[in-house]
Amino acid sequence: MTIEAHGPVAVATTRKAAPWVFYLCLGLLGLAVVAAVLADWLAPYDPSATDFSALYQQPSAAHWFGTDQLGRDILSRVIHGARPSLLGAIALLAFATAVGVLIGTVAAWKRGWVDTLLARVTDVMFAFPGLLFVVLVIAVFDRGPATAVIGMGLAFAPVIAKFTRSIALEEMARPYVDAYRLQGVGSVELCVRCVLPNLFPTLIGYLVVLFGEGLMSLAALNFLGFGAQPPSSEWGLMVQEGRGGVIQGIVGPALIPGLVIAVVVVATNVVGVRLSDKLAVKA
Amino acid sequence: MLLSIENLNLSVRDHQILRDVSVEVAEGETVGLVGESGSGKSTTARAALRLVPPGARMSGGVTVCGNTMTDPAVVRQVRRTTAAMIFQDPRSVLNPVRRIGDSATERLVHVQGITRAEARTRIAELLVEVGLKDTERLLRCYPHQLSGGMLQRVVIAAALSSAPRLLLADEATSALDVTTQAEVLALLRRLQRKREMGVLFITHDLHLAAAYCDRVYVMKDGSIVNHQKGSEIFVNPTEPYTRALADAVPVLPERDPVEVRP
Amino acid sequence: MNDVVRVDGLRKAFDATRRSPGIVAVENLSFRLGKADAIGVVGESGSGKSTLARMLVGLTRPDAGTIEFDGRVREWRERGRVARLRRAKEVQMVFQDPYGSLDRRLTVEVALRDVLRRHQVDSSAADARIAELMDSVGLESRLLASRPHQLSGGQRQRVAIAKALAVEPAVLVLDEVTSALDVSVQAQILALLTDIRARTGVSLIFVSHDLAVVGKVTDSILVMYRGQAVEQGPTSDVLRRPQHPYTEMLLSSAPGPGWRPERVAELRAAFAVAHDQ
Repeated sequence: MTIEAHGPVAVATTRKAAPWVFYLCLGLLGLAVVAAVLADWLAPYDPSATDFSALYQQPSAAHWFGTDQLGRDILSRVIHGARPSLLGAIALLAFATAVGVLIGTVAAWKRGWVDTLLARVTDVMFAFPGLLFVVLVIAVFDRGPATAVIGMGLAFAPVIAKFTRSIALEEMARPYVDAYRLQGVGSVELCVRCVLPNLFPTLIGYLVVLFGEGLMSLAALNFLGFGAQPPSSEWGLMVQEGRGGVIQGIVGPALIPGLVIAVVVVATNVVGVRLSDKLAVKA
Repeated sequence: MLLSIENLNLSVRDHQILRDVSVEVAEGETVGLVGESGSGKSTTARAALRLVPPGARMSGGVTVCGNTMTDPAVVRQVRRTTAAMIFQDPRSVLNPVRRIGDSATERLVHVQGITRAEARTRIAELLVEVGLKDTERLLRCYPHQLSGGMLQRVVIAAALSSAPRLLLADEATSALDVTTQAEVLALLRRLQRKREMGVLFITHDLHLAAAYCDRVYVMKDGSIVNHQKGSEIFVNPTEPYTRALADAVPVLPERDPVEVRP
Repeated sequence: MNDVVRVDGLRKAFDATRRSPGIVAVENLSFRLGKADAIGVVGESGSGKSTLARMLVGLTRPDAGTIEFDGRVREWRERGRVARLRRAKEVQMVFQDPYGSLDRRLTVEVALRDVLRRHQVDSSAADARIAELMDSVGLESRLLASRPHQLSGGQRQRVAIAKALAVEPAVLVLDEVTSALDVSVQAQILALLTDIRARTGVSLIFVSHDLAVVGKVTDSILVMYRGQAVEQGPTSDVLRRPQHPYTEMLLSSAPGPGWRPERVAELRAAFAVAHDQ
């Protein structure tokens, strides 16, 4: 309504993380990736080597993060846990993206009853707690990392489908899409070659943010024992195994992998938000 | 003078946007500010209310109704009561999920501190004044239920609610059909005469400015290149850019004289 | 029989249900357009002119009536690549919004090459054709490497015209193509369109709300009001001796010497009264 700006000058400001926060988060993510790739060289000990003479050790020069109830070096286990944890989240996201983008694009393209049907299906999935859904999937199939990833992926797909549908609808309303159509571009080619590539910048930023969420959900699943099985040192599983010590007042074995999960999730969020801003400006 | 801008310079990051711009608007006067996109015409109007982009450096004097626009408290006061601004797209200033009545009474309730019910009656009166009927129903509508012409009238009514002395109209009729544009302008002129209001009329349409405004400033690349009476600008454009601009606009052929029907 | 376009009894209503007839956008509209001719479609917003344009190019399906290009009636059931490419050669369209009508990912060159490849111009001939197209819309070849965000509004509109011409259509529909441009750029685009028509023999359907602009580029004008053609005739006749009161009102509404908004408002009120009776 006319001009109602307050303050001496109207200044448009957006709340944004300071640059150093972004670089710190990028560095932490880099560290996680390096750990996942070079675990065998980086870890000071074998992650599953037990040492019954050194149970529940406090952090020391020999064991930076201490040891757990079986005397295993927690630092080594965290480093080795990076690979299954990150790979699990990547696989989950890749699967969810494939399904979600397909559904979202088809819904936006076909509209009408196809759209309505897909919207209802995704709504039902939305209303259903993701974890409960995965537990059902695991009850029907076998427990194990693959089932966990596929189950969680199916729980994530509706979110991606909804998001894809909304940005695809907006994109398809642009006149350049009509221009393609008039040139004689068929519907499938239009979706795959003309519209989808224009969605990627927006989609990628969103997916990076979702990655953190995926990592956390998988860790939760592993904590419940539905995914990775011992002796894997997947982070969620480590928290679960370290649980026993908490009652005795020894929090390290459960807290450290939990903190690592939290740090990675926050870092991906910061990086993801910045990335989607950057890509959006470029588009 | 209601509005007086003197030797205004404005630059953002070493990029000079306005150079030595001087514009004056007197009581009851309609002054046109014409230019192509990027000429600085909108920036000038916004700078008059100190609505400048972050990091902008400004020099020169701006006074509105004798108030020097430097002290933040004065600037706020001027923005709230003395001056009002309307824009090209009424939909961009009306919240799409709020009823027209709530948006339109905002200025009255927040600035003048009167009750919502009183404000509604006042706005309803103003809506009648801008030529709208069935005001009770209108106030309950959402922006998407009204046409562009109707919304622009609502925005004008809301802008007038604080009885401003100066109205800054930035391409306020450019998105409207020619007939609707004429209606809105006829209305604006009537209200202006009644209230002795000064209007700074910003447009890209030289024909419109020449026909509607008392005086016209022409801007190019951040500077004022011409200043003439509206009635003279087509008869005798004294400056080459104005002439080029006038020549670029397609004109309708002379109409054949209408035969007198028996 | 030499008409490139024949439109007969075109009709379109939106949101029609079994109970209500819906909102009629276009009603019983017919016109003819010869080779290299240019027709202007004029009306205010909501007059149905954009719906008409979209029906002509096949983006909106009419409820009734026929559209013929070069004697071939447009069939809506026809599918497949051959039919799509043939339709593309019948008619192309340029849109109002120069910011949205280009794919922001593609450089000018890639966009043009894409169109040519789709229409089976082999890559050796494509280079020459691209140079020719750029030249014909008055763009320098150094802009070939630019993406849409690096171009001005006028340049984008020229690229959009070049893309449409690359298909070598018989008819070009221009929907408010100069409305978003500055007057000096508008004048250049209008001159360009006249030039292209003379050189390539393409027929133009120029949709606009601005009678003066339409008068610059067309031979005949069709005035639309609430979905119907209220007046149709040679451009000079329509502009000099309007027959319908609506056309007369539109002509008087355009600002110019002697224009007074109060007079236009009176005319409009009088027209509304007369029309509703």
